[in-house]
Amino acid sequence: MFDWSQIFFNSFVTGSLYLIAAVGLTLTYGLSKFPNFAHAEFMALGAYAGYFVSEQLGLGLPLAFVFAFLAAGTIGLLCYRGIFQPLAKRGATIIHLMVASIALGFILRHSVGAATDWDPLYFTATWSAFDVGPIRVTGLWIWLIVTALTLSLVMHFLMIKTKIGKAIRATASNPELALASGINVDRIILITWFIGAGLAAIAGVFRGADTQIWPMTGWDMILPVFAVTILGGIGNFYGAIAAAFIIGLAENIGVVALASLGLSTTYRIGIAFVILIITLIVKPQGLAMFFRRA
Amino acid sequence: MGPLLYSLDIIVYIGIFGIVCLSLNLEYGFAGLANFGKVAFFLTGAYTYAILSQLGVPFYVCIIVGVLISAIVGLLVSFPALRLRADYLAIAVLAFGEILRLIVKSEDFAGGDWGMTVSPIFPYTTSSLIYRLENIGLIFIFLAICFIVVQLLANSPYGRAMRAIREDEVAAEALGKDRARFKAQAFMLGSAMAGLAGGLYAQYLGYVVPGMFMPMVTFTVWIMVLLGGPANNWGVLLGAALVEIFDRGTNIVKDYIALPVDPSDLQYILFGALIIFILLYRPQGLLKESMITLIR
Amino acid sequence: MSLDVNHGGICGLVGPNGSGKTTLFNTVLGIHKPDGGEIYFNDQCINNLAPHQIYDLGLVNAFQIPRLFYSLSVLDNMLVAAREQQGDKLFNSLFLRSKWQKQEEGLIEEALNILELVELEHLALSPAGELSGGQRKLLEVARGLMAKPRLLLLDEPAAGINPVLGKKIFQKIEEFSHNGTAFFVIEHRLEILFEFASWVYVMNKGKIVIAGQPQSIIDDPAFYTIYLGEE
Repeated sequence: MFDWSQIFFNSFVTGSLYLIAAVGLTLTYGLSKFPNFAHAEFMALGAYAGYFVSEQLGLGLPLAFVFAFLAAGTIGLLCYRGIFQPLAKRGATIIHLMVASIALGFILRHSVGAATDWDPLYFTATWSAFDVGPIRVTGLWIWLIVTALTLSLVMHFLMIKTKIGKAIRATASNPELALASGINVDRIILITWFIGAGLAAIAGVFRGADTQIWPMTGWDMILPVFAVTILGGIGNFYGAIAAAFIIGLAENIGVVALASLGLSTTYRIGIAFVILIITLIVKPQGLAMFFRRA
Repeated sequence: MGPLLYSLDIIVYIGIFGIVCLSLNLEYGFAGLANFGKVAFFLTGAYTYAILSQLGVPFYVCIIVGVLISAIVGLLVSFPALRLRADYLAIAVLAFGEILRLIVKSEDFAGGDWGMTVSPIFPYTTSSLIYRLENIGLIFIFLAICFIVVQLLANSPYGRAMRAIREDEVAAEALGKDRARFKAQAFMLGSAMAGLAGGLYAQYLGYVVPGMFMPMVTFTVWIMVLLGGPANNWGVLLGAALVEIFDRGTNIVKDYIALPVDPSDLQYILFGALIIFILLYRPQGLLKESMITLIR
Repeated sequence: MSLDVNHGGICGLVGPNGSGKTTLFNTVLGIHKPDGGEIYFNDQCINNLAPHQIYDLGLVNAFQIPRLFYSLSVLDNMLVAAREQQGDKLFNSLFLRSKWQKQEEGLIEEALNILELVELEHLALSPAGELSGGQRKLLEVARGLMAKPRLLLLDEPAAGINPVLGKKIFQKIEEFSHNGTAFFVIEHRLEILFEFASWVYVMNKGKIVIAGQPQSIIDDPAFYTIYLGEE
């Protein structure tokens, strides 16, 4: 019989990781109106930045997260300023911007790969696995879930209660109107890109801590993260939260279903792809209709 | 491999990718469809050829069926996909390509991770030189056919209508152009050509493995098209040649010059920078869009 | 509402801002979905037709803000609009090229004639993107004429154009209107419209309130109340 409690817990873990990665993507996609494939590299760079602080400087994992957030955020901001903004100013289409983000991904991924010789790196912190009732958990996973939930609350508070959050929402839905009402649209965009990339980095560190750090860390995850972004509704972070857990659940149940049907579990990653395609075909706005615009 | 054989090998690749570039040029350059799943149809053609050749089917049937199946898959994909916004279409077909790759990676009929061997059209038993020359001949004949087809389409009222739809599909439709038909046909033809290239590729190499059909193939073709000049058939062939030569060139250079960076990494970094540079400063590519040449 | 726009000559549609003129056009063209009811063009229900099917019935529209194909030449912009092009079919364009090449020659001549009327023929081979604002509007109208419509909807064809050229456009349209094409024109510049129109509908708040020949409308006090009474 299936171990449903374990499946549900695993879904939470997967969903949490996707959530942290997707929130940043949905914000930048919704604001700048193009799919940024370099988001994958923000994740990977975050993992490397975290590695640098935690292992090479020996400062431990918590500081690694902080540094990764700041470092990737800065890089994200520079990428926007240096590449995407100039392109948009010259009238680049969505596709041009998308291609540019893929090209940027090449540069970042292979720079890191060249620098590290494509050897995978590992965080030395060990996480003991223990049982909570029938469920097998590790400390890292608990932290991951806690971080995801905290992030959701923080983002909710930020978006609804603070001036910056409202400004971000306004700019995303109507940039001209936002500009006309005195919002410093340029600054809001930079802040959004900073936060977006920073959050990607946090997901990257978790991913790296859970498995390994290597240049493809982000790229391995990017399509499911896009699936979450699109299912949740581009630009809608509440939708992204729901979508992250839906897809996490679908993947974990799917793995079990695949195994019991005798199909290869390589298809696991295909589950998110299928959801992605179905969403785009049937309802491209995703779950956005269920959630107040945010 | 000596330099002569290596150069001939490069020419083969230019021929094969030239066909794929023409197909993307038709879809994106002329019809404005952002097909980021190109490799899916390349894969379809290659694997169809592989499976049929293993069953002992004569090579021309393998090619024809490969082309037909790719066309059909393209048509089926076009029904839901073509009404999507450009970026949604791109992501959807990208995901579709990955799903196909997962299927051939996991299923035994396609050889799984280890792939399948493919009977080549020209036997290996002749010299490597002759083998390459024969393939170059075959592939370039097909390349010429594809070139003529896309060129004829582009330079006709059909091509004009297609470009109009690309520019402003609302206006084009208001002037009587059925955009669904044009887009579906472009996509179907493009997929057929990619399938043809896939079949030729499979038989040239003599095997197919899933690792040959990563999204990187799609991106490479996009680089070729964007560099050479979308909506210019000579341009995209030029792009194919330049990218392929540069790709191989850096691999050769590493044997002669000690580079601080691994050449394949350097290559990607340079490609990435090149694409961004082109998009910033010369988005129309090296050769600008060809004007519709009709009788004046 | 039921409108008869075939009175020989130009039929105008006027009304204060917000009276629903452009909305009426957009609803007929299928850009705007009606809340209810059906739309008929020459006794044929066009509610659920795709735009290209509406074009096939002879109903053509020239957009208020020109929607040209900017990277195509002026001449190509015109040629796209032509009807029943044999070369539009995939098979013909590959295998039966002679079938449409003759037709093309005729169409090119037609297009150049129309371009001459709007004084754009010297720019025929230039990309449409290089045209000035006024020239773009002219091309938009010319393209509509090229489509040989039974009814051409023109939304403010003289807007943003200097009065001399605007008058010229209306002159040309008026000439065309006697060749079997009906014109239904929204125009804010009442002086120009009334000079050339042979029949005018006046809208207010989403309804047709006055209809008649320009002179009778000018003489109708209700007309002024509509315009001046609105704020």
